[in-house]
Amino acid sequence: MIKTSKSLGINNIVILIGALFTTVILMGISYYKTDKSREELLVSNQLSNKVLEIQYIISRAESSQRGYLLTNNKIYLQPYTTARKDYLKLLRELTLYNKNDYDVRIPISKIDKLDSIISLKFKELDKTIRLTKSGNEATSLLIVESDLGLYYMKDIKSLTNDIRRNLEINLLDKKTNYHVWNYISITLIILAFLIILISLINLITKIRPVLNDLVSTKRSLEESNNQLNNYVEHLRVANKEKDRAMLKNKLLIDSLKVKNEQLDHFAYVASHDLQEPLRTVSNYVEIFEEDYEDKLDDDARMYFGFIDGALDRMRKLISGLLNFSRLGTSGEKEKVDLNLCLNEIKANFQATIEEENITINADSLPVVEAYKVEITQLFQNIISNAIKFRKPDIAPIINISFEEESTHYKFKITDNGIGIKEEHLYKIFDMFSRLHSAKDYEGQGIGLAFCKKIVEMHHGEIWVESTHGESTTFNFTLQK
Amino acid sequence: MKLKRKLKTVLLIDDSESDNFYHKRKITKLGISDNIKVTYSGEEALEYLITELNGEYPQPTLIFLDINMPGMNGWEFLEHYEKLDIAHKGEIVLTMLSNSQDPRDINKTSQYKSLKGYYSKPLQDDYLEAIILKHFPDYVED
Repeated sequence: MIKTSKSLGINNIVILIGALFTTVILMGISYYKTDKSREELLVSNQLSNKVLEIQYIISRAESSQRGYLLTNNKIYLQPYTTARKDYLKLLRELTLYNKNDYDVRIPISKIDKLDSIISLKFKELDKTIRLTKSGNEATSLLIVESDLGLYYMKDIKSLTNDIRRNLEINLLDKKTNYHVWNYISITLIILAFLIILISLINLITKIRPVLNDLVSTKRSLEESNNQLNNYVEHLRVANKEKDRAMLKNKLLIDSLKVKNEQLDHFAYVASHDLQEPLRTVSNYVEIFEEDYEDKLDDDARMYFGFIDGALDRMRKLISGLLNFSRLGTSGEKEKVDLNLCLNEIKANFQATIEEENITINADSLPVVEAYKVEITQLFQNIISNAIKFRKPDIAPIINISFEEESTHYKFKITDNGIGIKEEHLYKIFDMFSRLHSAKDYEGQGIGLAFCKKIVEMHHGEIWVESTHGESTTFNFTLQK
Repeated sequence: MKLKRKLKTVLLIDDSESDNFYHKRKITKLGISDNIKVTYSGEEALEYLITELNGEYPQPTLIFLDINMPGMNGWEFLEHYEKLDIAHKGEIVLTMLSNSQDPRDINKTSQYKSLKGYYSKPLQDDYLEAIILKHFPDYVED
């Protein structure tokens, strides 16, 4: 938007405003001038009328004098007296009007001249009236007939006409002046309007693309807004579904947790309580063998041997089950250096490692957040399996490596042992699952079940890859 | 292992008749004591400890205590036992655990001052010999 207003041009707007301003001023001046001109006309007319009136008054005074002279009746002198008074009044008024605010004046010299001629005229009239009053009518008639009064009258008429003509000419001048000015101002106003028009057109042509731009922007905004709304709606629905799924998952996980806890508790109670009768059986088999040793034949001894073996195996199974149910209850997670764990395991297997010429290659392992006892057991069980299921004629080699991933560490423990048949791979992590008879390989089938549970406790996964007769690789992940 | 002299009295506290019989037989066979008193509950054992017999309290030399008993269990017995008059107490008290690997039980054994150790059931020959060597070295013949 800032860019747009710049492209519209500040000059344009300045011109526009300037032109408008000029127009307003010109119109104001024009109005003032017209008004002044009207006033001037008025004043000029008034002056002209006054002058004309003076002329009439003098005529009236003269005719009144003639009337008196002819009739000698004093009644005819009444208008004369009034005319004299009126003249003085008019003269006063004329002088007053002459001092107007406008440049409309009768030159003082002309007024003075008029006044002096009129004074002479009145003097002449007065004289004739005075002579007539005193009965000297002949002298009076002489004066009348001398044509002096006629000359005065002519002078007065020509002077008043001259004054009035001058006023008219003056007015005409002013009018012309006013008209010239008027033309100029009208031209200027038209010019200003043209400028306004041009800059408006200019503005419009400049605004139009911006406007079009704005309209298309608005349209595209609306469109994207719609899309956004759709997307939000879509998200909302998806979210709802996700929430529902999550709730379902949470319920499932909760119920699974409860079931797991119940299972652990069951395993604990079962194994704990199974131990007692087992111990009793074991104790009394022992007493029986002691007390009746002399009376037992070889068959009986063999039977007792089987019973002892079964009891021993059962004791181990139960204790394995008990320990399985207790995994993760021994302590809290802590920082565990797996290199130290591996050293501990190597120390535990020291004798076997030397005896069987076992090689254990390991990367520099990470420090992980884990249950220390359990994580050591995990590595130990897998290594122990690799040692246990070695090929009789080949020195065991165990390779331990790891990769760091974004959320997990991925470990790989590979041996060169007897391997696992593909059809058995799926069940090796099951509890009490054994692939070999006790005659060939000792064991309760709980080691890998432990491993699975330990890995799951660390939010990881465990899986196995194997080529039968060649090697086995245990893979597992641990959450960081 | 031969003993110069036998322990005066051994007290067994266990609700299991078969275990009591087995332990009594083991202790007798190893020649640890001829005077083995068997009680079947904590209450019975307390009663026995505070009852005079021939003008004196039994004060057993060694007490084996089972934890897992109906009614008053081993821990509850110890609560009462620790409040007893010194004249009523025995010499060495040991507990027998059904499973010596249970960390909860093992933690609890350290809470009782009168408890000198814990062993796993059943008390076999090697356990008993170890107990004598540890707690009664004076009784052992060189």
